[in-house]
Amino acid sequence: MRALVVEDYEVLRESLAKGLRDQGYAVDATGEGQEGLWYAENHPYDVVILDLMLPGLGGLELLRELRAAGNTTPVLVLTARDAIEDRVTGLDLGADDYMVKPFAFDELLARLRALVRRRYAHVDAILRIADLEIDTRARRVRRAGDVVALSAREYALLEYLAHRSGHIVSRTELWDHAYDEAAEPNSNVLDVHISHLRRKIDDGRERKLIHTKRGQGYVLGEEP
Amino acid sequence: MTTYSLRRRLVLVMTGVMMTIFIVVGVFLYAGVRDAAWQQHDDGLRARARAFSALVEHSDDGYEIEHPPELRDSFVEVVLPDGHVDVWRRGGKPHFAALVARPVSIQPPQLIDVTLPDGRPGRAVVIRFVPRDEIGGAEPAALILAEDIEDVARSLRWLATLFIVVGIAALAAITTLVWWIVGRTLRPLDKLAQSLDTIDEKRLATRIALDEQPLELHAPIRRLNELLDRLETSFARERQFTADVSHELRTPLAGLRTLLEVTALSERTTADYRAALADAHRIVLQLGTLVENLLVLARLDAGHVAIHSTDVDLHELVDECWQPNAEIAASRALSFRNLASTTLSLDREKLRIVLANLLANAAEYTDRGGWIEVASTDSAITITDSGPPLPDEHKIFDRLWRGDAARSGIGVHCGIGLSLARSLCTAMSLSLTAENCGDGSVRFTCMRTRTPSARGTL
Repeated sequence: MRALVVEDYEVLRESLAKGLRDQGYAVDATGEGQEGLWYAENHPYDVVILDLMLPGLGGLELLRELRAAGNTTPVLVLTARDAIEDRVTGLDLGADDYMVKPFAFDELLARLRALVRRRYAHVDAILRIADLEIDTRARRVRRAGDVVALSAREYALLEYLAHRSGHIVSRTELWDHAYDEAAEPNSNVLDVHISHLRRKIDDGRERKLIHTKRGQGYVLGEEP
Repeated sequence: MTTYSLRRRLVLVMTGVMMTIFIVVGVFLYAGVRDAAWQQHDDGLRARARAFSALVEHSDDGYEIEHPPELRDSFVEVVLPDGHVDVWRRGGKPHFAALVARPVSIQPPQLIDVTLPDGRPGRAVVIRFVPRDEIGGAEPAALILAEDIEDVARSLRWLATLFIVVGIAALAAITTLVWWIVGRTLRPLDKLAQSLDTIDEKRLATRIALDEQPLELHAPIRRLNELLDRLETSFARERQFTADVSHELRTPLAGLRTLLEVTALSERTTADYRAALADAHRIVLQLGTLVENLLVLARLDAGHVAIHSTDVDLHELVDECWQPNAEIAASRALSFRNLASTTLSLDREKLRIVLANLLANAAEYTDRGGWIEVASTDSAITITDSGPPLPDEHKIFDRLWRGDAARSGIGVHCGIGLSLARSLCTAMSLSLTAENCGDGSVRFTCMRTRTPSARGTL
């Protein structure tokens, strides 16, 4: 999953980015409202974490412009202001969730998972494709009951494919959602990660779940 | 609290005034009517006495009275010139000694109050007359007519009762009417109270409309609305201040919490832990400064500030205050020059807070790559930075004001710092001003407002 963090307080921004990367998110982070808007408009984020008090373009203006442009990326607003009016204004402008600082990082993660599930129309925190089971809370993967150990990047790729299971996911799309802005676009890296993932998930299994559609991308699911 | 009631007071005063008027008018009216009644009665008495006197005749046989008149409640005594006294009354001629003292020494005509022979109060008239004379030589005689006055007295009593009863009834009616009218007249006050009832700290935007209020209430209502204006402003300021303080406290707390939680989430390298600890330490220091600022501000607001002046080595103090900013300044490529060299007699602790806030402000807002310079003379301390210029040189000392509203400063720059610095300067009899120097640089000047005679002044 790819997340954007727009927060001007450096310690918080860096900690959030680090924590989210640890959790397998591809993270872009900025402390400027205008830059945040540019990021949000030009990258397909799965979720945006937005502080309201930003230098330059404020968080609420950013949100308004984003929604006015038809962007539906889930936005979780972070703010130090806890007045009801502030929450109402934020939610009315199109924020999907609201957290008051200081917050528990675990709760933030849970809310982000919920936003991602809603985005991909899932209700359960555990994604199931055939005998493959992905627990998005514990970030644990099982195939036919056996635990499959994945690296953070492999997990990120698999989780995105699982959210879009049954659909063809292009290489660009996969790249956009599993790698952040800082990663050098390199198809070799993606190929390597996919082949690792395929080996861990499908090797020795009768039914293959990861399929390559030549010239189009990848599909996670049972062979149609 | 007194139970002073406008309505009760008005009614009491009105009733009192009306009662006095009634009593005075009633007494005069009664006296007039009584005098007139007595006048009429006395005239009648006199006329009847004359009529009786016409019945006395002087003839050869001496004085005699023709046809004794028909008497009802009257008593008539005739003192004839020959000294004979004749008394008439119904049913006989008893002694009538009580009527007047004899010999008749009164100068008639005269009216006197008497007690009638039967004990009732009466009134008598004494006249002198010369009896009708057929033979000549008649001497003057006197006639006393006494009559019962019960009729007149009863009429007057009735009149007095009537006056009192009507007066009391009118007074009661007037009191009731005044009570009601005053109540109606004062109704706008009730309405005003009702409108005021609806105002609490959440609805301070309410104002009392003047249109429906009587002219007399316009002035107090205007004052009331002005008071509400001031209350609303100060409540809003207070709310804004609380929100801002909470924002300034929550932001570093959120940073600290997330930093610690994320660091603890998985195994880290020693370098990672060191970096996290350094960050946490920095945040705690900033939070400490913020809390200190807030406490000093609260004490200043409450007026509990004592000034303890000692000799302060300014150069050393400036270095101490700059220390916490050195790291940020280095990361922003700012150069710092401490040219202060004076020793001044001032409150070291308060001056430290002032300088710390001014330097933190300069380190935060000076453009990357700029410079900051502190200098001092015997009369002033100046902190100059390379800019950018202040958007508003006067507003920056307002509590909560920030050049950039969305700017999330941490701690010292949350719009409290400069306001606090100025309040502290005022407490130390210093002035603190800011100016844009034209070349883009900004200078804060801290100067003595009164020059004491002591040596080593600022």
